[in-house]
Amino acid sequence: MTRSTPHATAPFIPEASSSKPSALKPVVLSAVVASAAMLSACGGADSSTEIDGARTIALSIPFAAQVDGEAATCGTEFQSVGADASTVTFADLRLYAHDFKLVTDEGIAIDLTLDTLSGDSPAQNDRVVQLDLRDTVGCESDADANPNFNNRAQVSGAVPEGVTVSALRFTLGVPFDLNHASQSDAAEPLRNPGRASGAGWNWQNGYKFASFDVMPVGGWTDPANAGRSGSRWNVHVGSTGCPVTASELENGTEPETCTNENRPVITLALGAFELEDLESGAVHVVIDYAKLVDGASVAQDEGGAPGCMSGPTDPECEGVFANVGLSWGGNTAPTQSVFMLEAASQTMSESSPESAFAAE
Amino acid sequence: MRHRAAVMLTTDQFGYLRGVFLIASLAISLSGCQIESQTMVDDEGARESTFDWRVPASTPLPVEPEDNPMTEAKFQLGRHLFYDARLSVNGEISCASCHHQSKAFSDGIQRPVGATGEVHPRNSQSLTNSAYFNNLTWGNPALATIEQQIMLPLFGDNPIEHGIDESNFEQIIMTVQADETYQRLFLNAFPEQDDPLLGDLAWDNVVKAIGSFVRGMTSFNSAFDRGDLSASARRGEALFNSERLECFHCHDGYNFSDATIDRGVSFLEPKFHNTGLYNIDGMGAYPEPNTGRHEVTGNPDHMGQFRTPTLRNVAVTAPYNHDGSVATLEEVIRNYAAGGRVITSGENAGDGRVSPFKDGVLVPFQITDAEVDDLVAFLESLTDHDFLADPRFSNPWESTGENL
Repeated sequence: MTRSTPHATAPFIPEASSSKPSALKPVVLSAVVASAAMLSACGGADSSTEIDGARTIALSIPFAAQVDGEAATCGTEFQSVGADASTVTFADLRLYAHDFKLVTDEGIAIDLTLDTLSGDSPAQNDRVVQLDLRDTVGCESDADANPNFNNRAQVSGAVPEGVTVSALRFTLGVPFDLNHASQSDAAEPLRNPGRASGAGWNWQNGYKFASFDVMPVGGWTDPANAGRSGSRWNVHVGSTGCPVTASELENGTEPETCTNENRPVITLALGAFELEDLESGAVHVVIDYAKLVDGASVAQDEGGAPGCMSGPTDPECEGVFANVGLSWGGNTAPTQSVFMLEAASQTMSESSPESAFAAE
Repeated sequence: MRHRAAVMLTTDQFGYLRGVFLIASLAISLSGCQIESQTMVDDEGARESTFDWRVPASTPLPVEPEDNPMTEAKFQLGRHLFYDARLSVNGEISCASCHHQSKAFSDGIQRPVGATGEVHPRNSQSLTNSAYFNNLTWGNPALATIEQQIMLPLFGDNPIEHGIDESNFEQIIMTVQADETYQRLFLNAFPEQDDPLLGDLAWDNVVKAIGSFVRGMTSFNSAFDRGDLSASARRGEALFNSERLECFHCHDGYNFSDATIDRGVSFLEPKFHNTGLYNIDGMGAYPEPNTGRHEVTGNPDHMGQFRTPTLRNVAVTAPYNHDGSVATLEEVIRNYAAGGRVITSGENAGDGRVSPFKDGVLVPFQITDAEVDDLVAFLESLTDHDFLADPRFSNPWESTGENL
């Protein structure tokens, strides 16, 4: 079932301001000639004001989960995953993201104004997007189809016309103020129960920013402790070390920030892609599970929560955090390797033939 | 700070007053400073509430969340929900499954089992006077309100308790919505909402109502409160407050816990203590996942730190400690007398007495068997038998025999 797809994989670039300009291939939007004056007028917080009066471009960027290039579907066994070449099925494939931006060739980050979606239970609001990449409820092979899933989990929004774009940037997770607010009356996609069912991170007072859980065939064992074993190996990224006391809340005091915020900023160079590819849905953001657990043994757990649940002393977190670009144990945050921009043609044309996004 | 001072003075009085609380003693023993503090508390509405808290006049009232002020209607709705096993994945678990009124809302077993069979790592905690804690559960500084805490058993997945998740939450709320009893109770509880049962906030209302019921579980009518102590219990009380045993250092104030917050305490630093219960690696480690405050903060210095539980009704909440690993009050006392617990065999073997994280106040002390009996007698005098049988906190569905 392995497919060979000619991916047009764009390399990861770090923060655009610190990257080599030569690595960035500017893409000039055809409709309007980029103007330096407009860029400066639209810079920073002014862009949202400008966007109201100016023509905008609607973007729609799908997200997709893969395992080594293969679509990560629920109920499917994937082989040769992780350092121990385990066979796994998925149990969860969800993430939250916010602060979407397009980075210009000059390193200026322009806000992507998120669309307000209609419906009772929208997957995004004006602050945060839930990307539910599962095709069944609970990712159970025999479950009803996931009503939240339409095979194009995506972010949609608008940017001003006339910008020269080199990269897409977003932040994994839920913004701090929303992360520590009440969940049972939160706006979707943060309502629990609701879209955030199973995404609560309540013992730490917040949400799982990303939950990529698998069931290794045969379960996992602890090589150092024969009495420890389990069936589910989880990757949960979320903020840790977030003590908030009732006294603080009652006083209206700002809660302490968390010891480990764990909100990596992901910047993906457009590379050979053009901005209009983001308009048409021809490009999607891929999260590759094989890369997420690269170096980790997913049928083993050496301590802490099974897998990596962001525990600051959980041995499985060191590698997983490095792969997603997060600092762990005081080390310097490495370059992430999990998120990529790829041509969406293969996936979209196969699973959604009627889609307007099908590329040529 | 004056508020804090008032509480501290109350604490210092504690032990001398022996059940004769503040108001009664004001005239004879309190300085002007305390009277001033008392006045200030009154000025800030410490006694003002539309809810009948059933708290003695001498005891400050608990804090009410601004977004969920107490009402009798919410308390009564919450009581029905607390005892309703339909709020679970398979109709088998209600809050009351692990919180029995006769045991001060603990459950008498070491560790409870959730709806799908997962064993909880922690002992079911008494709900006595939950309203007075500055954070909830055994050792979680991030759980600031009862409403926040309730999200965990209902919707949490690690461990699964009620097992309400995305595959069943809509079905479960529809079952609630279809019950005529709830149609009346929700309307009474949330009169400001157009449709509190069928509307967008139905689940939020469930959480707020259960929170109100639990917050209303006040208990201040023990033999101790009535000053009705046996000779043995009086000797035990003296031991409790002695510098030799030092029990009162952590179990202080009217709720016998230094993690007490009320309308007179505007700020309270987090209070957690390592009591030398484990030392599995010779460096003070507690067995995972029960590392207490450390589990949440990740701070190595917080290893094994847990919040001081109230001692009210403690005699009916065995087994003890965060993991239910200590069977009797006598055993608890002997662990403290030893300056920590020594486990000689098994995977948790270790000498808690020499843990580097042990709270400094915990030093070994000599205690005779008779003194242990006296101290236990004092702890037993803190049982509020009315609370354990009060119909106010009982199962409202019992007349029909359904939804237990």
